[in-house]
Amino acid sequence: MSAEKPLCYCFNVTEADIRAHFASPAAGYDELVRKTEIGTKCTACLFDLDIVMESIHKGQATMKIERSHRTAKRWTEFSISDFADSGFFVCDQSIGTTVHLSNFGQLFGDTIPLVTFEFELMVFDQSGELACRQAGRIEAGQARAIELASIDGCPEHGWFLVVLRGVSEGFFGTMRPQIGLNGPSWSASYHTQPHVMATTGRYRYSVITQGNGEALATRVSVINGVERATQLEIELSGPDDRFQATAAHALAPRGSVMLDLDTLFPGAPADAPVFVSVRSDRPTRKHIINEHRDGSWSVDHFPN
Amino acid sequence: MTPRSPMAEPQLFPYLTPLIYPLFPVSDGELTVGLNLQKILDDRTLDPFDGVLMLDIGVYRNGQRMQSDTKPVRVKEGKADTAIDWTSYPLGTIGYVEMSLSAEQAVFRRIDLPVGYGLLSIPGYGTLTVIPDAKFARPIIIEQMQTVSSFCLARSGCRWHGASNAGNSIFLPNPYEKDIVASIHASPTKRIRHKVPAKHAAMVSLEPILEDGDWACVMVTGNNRIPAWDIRHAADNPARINSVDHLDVFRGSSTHRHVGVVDYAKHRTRRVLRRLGHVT
Repeated sequence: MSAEKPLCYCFNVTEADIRAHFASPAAGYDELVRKTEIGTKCTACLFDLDIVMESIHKGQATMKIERSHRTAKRWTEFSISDFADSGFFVCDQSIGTTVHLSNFGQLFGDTIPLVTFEFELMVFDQSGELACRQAGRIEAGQARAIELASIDGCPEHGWFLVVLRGVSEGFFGTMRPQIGLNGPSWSASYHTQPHVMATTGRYRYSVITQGNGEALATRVSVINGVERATQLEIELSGPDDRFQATAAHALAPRGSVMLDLDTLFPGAPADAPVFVSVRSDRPTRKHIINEHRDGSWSVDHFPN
Repeated sequence: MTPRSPMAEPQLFPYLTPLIYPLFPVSDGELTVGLNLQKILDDRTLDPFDGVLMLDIGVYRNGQRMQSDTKPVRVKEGKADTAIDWTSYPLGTIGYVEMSLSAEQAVFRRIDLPVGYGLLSIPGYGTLTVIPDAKFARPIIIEQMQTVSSFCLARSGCRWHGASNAGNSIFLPNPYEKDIVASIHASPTKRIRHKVPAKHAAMVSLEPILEDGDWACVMVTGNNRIPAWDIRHAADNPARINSVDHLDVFRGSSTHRHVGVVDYAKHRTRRVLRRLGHVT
């Protein structure tokens, strides 16, 4: 994309025009659209506009589109390829957990070089003990659904670390693990997140929830992402000044817990949004689980 | 205080990119959004300032802006007069909420709005959390465009399971100015094309492209980028929604990172420790 060529062909708007517009510190996006009509006809330029906006926002020249990966060049340079994601699981009599891995090209095509991945799944019980593990390979164009209950030694509750490793250099594609929670008459899902993100968050620790009128029906899963014990401080507050309470819970190294907020905070308002905050002195991974009247669950992670 | 060098002066913006929240076709219930304005000021502005922010909220259903709210937020020395703005919107007819924040002067150092979760509450049933999507300039999509040069969202574990009444759909709002034809793929041969007119939203059942009981990777593309959410619901009642999650972008990122000898040694050590059952 050069600065001279139109970015929006319908209205002949160039990248230089856009940059000139944003040279004024008070310039806005809506004003740009009003003035130039960019993006309002065929809309094909919106992607490119996104890229230019990003580069303006970063104060850099537009990056060139790179389709190929770079290989290590110097003898002092090495390749590493481990991606470790984590999440919680339940494998009791009523709920099962599936870890789904898939290795497909974009729209199942072959426009980018896919590679075989090795995976290693480590399953920990709530006390932090390694309960079982499974390893394998996912070839390009293949998928695999791993029922955790089918692995010998899998406990009813705990968490897992799944390490993905491309056996040669290529693209990550669809390899982000997806977790299915399967109840007797429902199914829920969530995506795992890089485990390293659990080990760096120090301030994004709050989410909102709301009860069903009679109870909070909310649980919080907390995973201690490191090899040292941690002390959790759980706070429930709101709406306004109606309620504020804290509770404490100790987590073993690599331990995890599923906290029932109704047990932790009896008498908490169940009819309005409340904030749930979980602070810890070690990095933790946190999920919120809302249980519905029919027994079904919804799951989300705390903000990264 | 040492004055900043003009060369080091970062570019500031008078607006943040709008957030899109889904409004599901559920007959009774509401979407509640708590926007943490003070956190936005703390995270996105360079210096404390005095002024007024304008919070603009539009509710779109069937191509129409059915409801508009414009709320001024007064800021004094970087402190908002309302720390958290709570707003609720009834569900019912399918649609979406677009929420944007602008300032009189260029005060924001980044245009992406820190995510505030939405809360979907359905009386007599329960609640679900909903993560919004950005209308423009979502960094991870820009990264994808730069790497694989076309728009593609992926969800690696979709499933329709009639025996346990577990259904699965994709929610697609179109907050842009032109119609979008979205294409949802479950394999090289199984796909659904669905046109979403401008300012409309659609909930597309995956039943026609999923094998009953099997897990499948689903990918979404279109003639423009489009926000999308994975919706789990009762197979016999799409309005009985129990789980909502955003789709992930197809990752154009490389499988390998190139590092120096020290990081490589750490990496090898970490791998050995993991084999011994340690978390690193």
